Amino acid sequence: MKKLCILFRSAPQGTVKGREGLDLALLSASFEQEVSLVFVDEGVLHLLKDQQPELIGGKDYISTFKALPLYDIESVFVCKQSLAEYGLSHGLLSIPVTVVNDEAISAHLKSVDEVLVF
Amino acid sequence: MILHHIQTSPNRDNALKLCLRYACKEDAILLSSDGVNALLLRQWAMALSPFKLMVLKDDVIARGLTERLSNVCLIDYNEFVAQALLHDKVITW
Repeated sequence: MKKLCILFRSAPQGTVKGREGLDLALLSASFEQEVSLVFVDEGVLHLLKDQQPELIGGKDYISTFKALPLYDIESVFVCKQSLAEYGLSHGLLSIPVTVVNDEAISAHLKSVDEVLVF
Repeated sequence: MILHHIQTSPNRDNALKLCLRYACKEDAILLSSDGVNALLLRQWAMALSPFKLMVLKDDVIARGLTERLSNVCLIDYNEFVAQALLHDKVITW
């Protein structure tokens, strides 16, 4: 069993990276890997509530983040500095997350077996 | 120890900026393809200086930067594999 960390740093709707990252996270979790998610920089925008990707022809994978607990993905970290940079408060986020500082993210990246960046 | 791998130019993508934000001082950073251009810009060269830095040789030679980046540790693909095995993991940003 591997500790796999998926790090989201790209904006949600302009590229498919976010969707690919979430697919990999859910797939790995269903294969009993210990999956954790980290959202940094523009990746934090994945967590904004009330998004409507269909409006611009996008597939709504954003709401799938609500299914994380079903896959036993409990550790979802968000970069405190990035939230501040993008002016997002905790209340605007769609799912329960753990807001952490840079050192905590660095420590987490060191503690897991693999990190994949999307 | 983590080997951070940057393949894009900092002017095109903030992979390097984010890598530097979360890298620890004992980590190593490898620049390849357009990532090598970061060293041409003072601000990034300085930001990279505290880390063990490596650059993929072919990408430097291909871009005619051998002269300009003469004081940088150039590694070939075999060395890249060796470094990847040496470190706990590789993070490609």
